[in-house]
Amino acid sequence: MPGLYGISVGALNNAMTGVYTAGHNISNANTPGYSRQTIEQTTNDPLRTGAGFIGQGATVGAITRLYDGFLTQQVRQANSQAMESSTYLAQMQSIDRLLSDPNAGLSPALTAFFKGVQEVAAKPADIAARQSMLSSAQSLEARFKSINTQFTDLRAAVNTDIQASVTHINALTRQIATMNDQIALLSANAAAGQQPNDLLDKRDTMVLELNKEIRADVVLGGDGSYGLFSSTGQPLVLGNLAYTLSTVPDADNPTDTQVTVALGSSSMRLRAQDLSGGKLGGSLAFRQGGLTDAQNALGRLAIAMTESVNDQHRLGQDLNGALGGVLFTATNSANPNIVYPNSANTGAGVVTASVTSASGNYGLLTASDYRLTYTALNTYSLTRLSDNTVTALTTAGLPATVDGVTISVPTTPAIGDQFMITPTRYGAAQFSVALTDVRKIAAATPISTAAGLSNAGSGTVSAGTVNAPPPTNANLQQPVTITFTSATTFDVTGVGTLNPVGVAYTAGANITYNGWTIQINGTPGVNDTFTVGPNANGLGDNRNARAIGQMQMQGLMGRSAPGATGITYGEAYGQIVSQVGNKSSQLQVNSDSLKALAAAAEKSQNAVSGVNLDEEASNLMRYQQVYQAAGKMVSIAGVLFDTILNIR
Amino acid sequence: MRISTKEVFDSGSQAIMQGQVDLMKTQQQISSGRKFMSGADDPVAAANGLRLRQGVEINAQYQVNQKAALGTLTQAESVLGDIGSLLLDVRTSTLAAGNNNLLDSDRQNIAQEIAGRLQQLIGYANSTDGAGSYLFGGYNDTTQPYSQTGTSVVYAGDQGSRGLQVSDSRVIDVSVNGAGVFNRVPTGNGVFATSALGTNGGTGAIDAGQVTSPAALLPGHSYQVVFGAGGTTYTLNDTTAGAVVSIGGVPQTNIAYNSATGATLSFNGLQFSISGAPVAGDKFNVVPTTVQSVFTTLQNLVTVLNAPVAGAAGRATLNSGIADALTNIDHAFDNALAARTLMGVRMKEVETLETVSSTHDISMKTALSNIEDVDYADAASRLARQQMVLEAAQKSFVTVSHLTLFNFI
Repeated sequence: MPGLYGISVGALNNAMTGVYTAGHNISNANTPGYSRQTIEQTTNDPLRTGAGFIGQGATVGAITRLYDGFLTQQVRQANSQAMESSTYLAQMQSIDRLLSDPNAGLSPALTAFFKGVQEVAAKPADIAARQSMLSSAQSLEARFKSINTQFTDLRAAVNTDIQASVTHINALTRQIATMNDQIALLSANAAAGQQPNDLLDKRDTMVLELNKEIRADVVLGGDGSYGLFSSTGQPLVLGNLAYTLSTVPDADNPTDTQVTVALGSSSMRLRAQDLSGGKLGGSLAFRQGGLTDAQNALGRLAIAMTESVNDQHRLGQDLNGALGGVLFTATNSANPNIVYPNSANTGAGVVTASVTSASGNYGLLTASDYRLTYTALNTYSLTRLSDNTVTALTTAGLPATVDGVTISVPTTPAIGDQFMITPTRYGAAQFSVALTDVRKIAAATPISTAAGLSNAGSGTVSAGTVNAPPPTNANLQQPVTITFTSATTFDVTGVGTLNPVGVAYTAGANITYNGWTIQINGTPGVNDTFTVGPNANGLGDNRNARAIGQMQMQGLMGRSAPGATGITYGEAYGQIVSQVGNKSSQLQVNSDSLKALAAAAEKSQNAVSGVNLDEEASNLMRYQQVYQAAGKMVSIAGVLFDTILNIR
Repeated sequence: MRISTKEVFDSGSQAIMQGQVDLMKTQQQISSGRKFMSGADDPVAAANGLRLRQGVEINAQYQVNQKAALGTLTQAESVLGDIGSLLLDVRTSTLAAGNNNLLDSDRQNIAQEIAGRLQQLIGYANSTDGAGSYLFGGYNDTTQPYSQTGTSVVYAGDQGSRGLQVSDSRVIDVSVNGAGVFNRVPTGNGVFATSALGTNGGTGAIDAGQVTSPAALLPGHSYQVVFGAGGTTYTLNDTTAGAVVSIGGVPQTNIAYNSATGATLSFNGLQFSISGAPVAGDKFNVVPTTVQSVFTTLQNLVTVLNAPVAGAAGRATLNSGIADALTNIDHAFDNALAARTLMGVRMKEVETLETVSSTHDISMKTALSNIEDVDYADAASRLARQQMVLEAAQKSFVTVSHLTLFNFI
């Protein structure tokens, strides 16, 4: 009889536990990371009697969560990757929209500038046309600067994002470490098979949260604690110890933020590849890839435009009859910030880098950053970071020009010291229009040629060009006379020409003196003269404006060698747009598929661990009925007992 | 397969959200008329769009330049046409002045008319285009190119010619400088010019002559025929070489001359004839062609016509002056005609380029539209479909989410 009570009460308890568990499941149906729990009910050991083994009811041995470690790991990983690409994408999209907008991008301003130039070419002496060209140059400056400001703002925002991520990561790793401790303690004291389910769920939720900030791989410890490691094995949590991350200015470039990890009393700088995945990984990848690439490429365009347009403009003559000056402020005159010594440098070495218009260097620029390392005595190695091409330099060979960047080392560094060189980063920020007086736009060419008015032969002289690059020859505008002494020879007189006599004449061949080049064609007669001299009053001359206008169509950038075929300004900008667009579109695809992957993994996880209210409703009914039946058993046991008591 | 309740709600709301995103995107496309909102939607098309847009803008500028070029060319062409007819008029008057029956006063009247024509010609040479730039000043298009000082007309322009960029690879010169048209007019027959000295006392005349063998010409050499006593002999000197010319090994010294038949001299690749009756000491020059401005030609003509004609010698001077003037006017006319033809050719080219540019404009705009503009039929039907999908998702979600066992217990 007591056994019957025992069985009944046990059944009552079991049913109650079942109802509790179902209720717990129902109330947590919407708790993120919650795994549904079931009771593990086992039959009690039977009682051996003469009549055989009498069943002794059942006991709830444990309440377990329905959990699949593999699926959980998949969810974590997918979420970490999805978060990385969606963070990267979100930031990339803001650049993409900015650059590819047909009205707000650089393209319309670039076109407008050349349109202004063409207007001046059409009406070289018209002040209104000149004003329009100057205004369009100024709006080009404004557009360069505003796009660059957006880049700078994004860089600052990325630094803030990194800071925020690091703070969040630190909070999470600390909590996970604490929970590791609790779980280890509770698990150690629990009976076999029993686990602190809700704590485990909570910890898994936090690890998932952490993975959304940075990829953290889980290694399960013997005591049930989680060890968390970054993608390259950098520990984030070990047992109850959380490694604290913090941010410092980047060793290579102090305007960027770098993440360090505290190791005891010292700290170690983490590279971008140590911190992949999650928001942090996305932000770092965006800064390294999209942002820096786009900003450098824009800067390259600004520098190339400045230098090439200036070069041509300086070959011209303005409305006052003076030689052309610079149209845009020369790049090199205000570019102190393109070399950053590494913060770990031990020496006091000074490295300078500059981009000059000399030898068309602007055409060779790449959008990459460079690292200069003083590897051994008198030996430097220069690494182009975009493709890790290494160029060896020696002290004797300095200053050296690589990819259009001239590098010199005024003060020798200590061996092993590194310098980050960012030749194009600030190009767009420094793009500015130097010219303010519209009369100083050099639309004309400073020389004019003429055939003698009494020439009897059929010889004609070309309009003449001024030899690039500037500065122009000091004797450029000295009057020079070419006098034919026979049908095949001529004498030259004029300051700077050294007055050669009997120069052989070839029709159409270049004749170059004093920094200009002309061609004479046809059959000049004896004593025919041709003169080259200043272009006095050449107000209607538009040769230089036309030459500047033609630059829109010339491949002046991205050359492999000076004079080689390159790409036009418009194409260079189109390249940025298409690179950013391609990257964004690739990220969009990645992000979508990773999100789908994460959703699929979560779906699989939910299929195992998620709460189904209908199921819980049926469980409630089931346990309720068991409870009612067990209650009936107690009352039957009571009746039976009464029956015994009533036997007298 | 187990479905958790959370899953039912999550997937339901996710489907609705996705439907809304799609719908919004299509709606944006329809309202903006653009196929893509950012470069990421279609990077290649975005870059192509930028390139085409720039192409359209450049082309538009070329079209503006073409109009301006055509305007200036038309103006210059018309002025050059006027100059041509003016020169023809002058030629007619000059021929009339050669009439032996005219009196000095008649010739002076003609001279007066030609002087007026000269002023008119200077006016033409100082023509401006619509914007006030001088057509024939070269680069120096703000200073009046021709001005008369005394009897000479001075050119103040330069020899540049203004070009306009009318296509990617073509710069059209829209002006010709005055030096080429008015100043550099060749004299004589283009190789050499003959003349009788003004101090000649006889009636001897020399024709314009011709080139018989270009290869045998001695470039730059001048010759002089000097008549001896009684005008019955002549000597032919090469004044450049300072020697007597030999023809067929015979030095041309004191060669007999018959005033009834005249003489034809043929040597060193050139040939000319002398006729009439020169007197002793009369000289005829043969010099390499030089150039003379059309203004000087007209001015000289005016001077010749104004001078009273006395006797046979005076008549000879007049005739030779008129002959010179006719030759030079013809050359000036040729010059103006050549320049006018050049303008015409350029106008034709610009007109062709205008057609090319407008075709190019249409094709680029079509390409741009194909790349950038939304296909409304497609977008509208897409919108309807997406709307249907969204509504279905919403309806089915409501139905599924209402299904719960708790409704029955």
